[in-house]
Amino acid sequence: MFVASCGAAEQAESDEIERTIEEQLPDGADVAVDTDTGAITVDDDRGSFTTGDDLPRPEWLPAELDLPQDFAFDTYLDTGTIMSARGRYGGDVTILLEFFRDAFAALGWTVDAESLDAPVFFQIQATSPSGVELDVEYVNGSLAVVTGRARVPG
Amino acid sequence: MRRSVRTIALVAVLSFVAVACNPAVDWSEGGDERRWWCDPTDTAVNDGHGEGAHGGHHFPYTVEKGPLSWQDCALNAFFIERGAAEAALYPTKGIAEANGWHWLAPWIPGQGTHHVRASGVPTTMDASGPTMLMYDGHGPNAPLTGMVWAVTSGHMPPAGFAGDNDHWHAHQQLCYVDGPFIVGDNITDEECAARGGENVDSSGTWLLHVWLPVYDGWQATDIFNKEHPGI
Repeated sequence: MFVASCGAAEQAESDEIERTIEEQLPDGADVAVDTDTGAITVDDDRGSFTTGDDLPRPEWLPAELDLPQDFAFDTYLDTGTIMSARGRYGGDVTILLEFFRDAFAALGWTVDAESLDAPVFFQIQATSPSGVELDVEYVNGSLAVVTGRARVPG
Repeated sequence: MRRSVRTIALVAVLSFVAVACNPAVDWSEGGDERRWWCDPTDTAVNDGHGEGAHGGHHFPYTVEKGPLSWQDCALNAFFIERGAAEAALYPTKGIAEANGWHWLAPWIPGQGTHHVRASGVPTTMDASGPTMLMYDGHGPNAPLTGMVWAVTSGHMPPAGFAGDNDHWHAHQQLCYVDGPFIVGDNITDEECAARGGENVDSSGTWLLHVWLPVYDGWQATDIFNKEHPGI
């Protein structure tokens, strides 16, 4: 990910970075550089994309859902209808699936579907009591939580 | 603004962000931020497919692929990883189709299916997201194998990604049936008609495969290669 830990970089520098990137991207893209974390966010007609290291938990992710302690997000993507947060994870896929299965059960969520193809893939789909649909999936070392995506019928 | 100018300016900004702010960040060869695919080990012109394994053809590139400059590496990383993040939203064929990706072409060895986004193929390069996704099978659980950028730019391939490693290919004509769905590549009009289709001149539509997210454990020896050895 784009690591750019500027620390105490001047706000003016940040503004200039944002302005310069914006000028180079089509369709009135808006660019934001977080000088504290180095994360870069680009908003355009494709949605919003953020890349960085150890990104904070996204606001749309239900706070009550536990995540593995050693896991950190490095990208967010919001297409306008679908939101995802993703990061690398090196844990055992079967144990990881069990972790989320237990987490959803502890919260009283309904598990709608799950599939496992160890060691490269799992997906678990769950719905909260308030109707929030969330997919958690692991593919080739990348763990993601996704909401807003249409699910496969049946 | 010309793309080349945009590219230079964006690289300048990324350079500032990646280097000036943090001297430890290094996109040069061997650097900690440099991506593996910035240094292809498979450097063949036209991916070694001069005539195309599927009836396609290549622009007559003459220079072998090689290590990207650190600026090109950084710039491509931004767009390719953004595309990969979008592709990863659709890890299976069924999920992709449920979310608007249209199944355009059947599974073929070395690639998989081709599913095109609802907005179709653009006429100018849009680096920020793939035009097509590929899946390893015809069932709803078929997994994502990679991405395709496509541009209908006429006689010349688009400027494409930064650097000289993106060798684009095109197909002379494709046989389409209603759907639309491709049922033949570079076959005669008679053969196409026998399949219930109609040949369409496709020579001006240029394609580039990008092998991310990693599929089947293969870390691409050339991320822009035409084919994946595990499919």
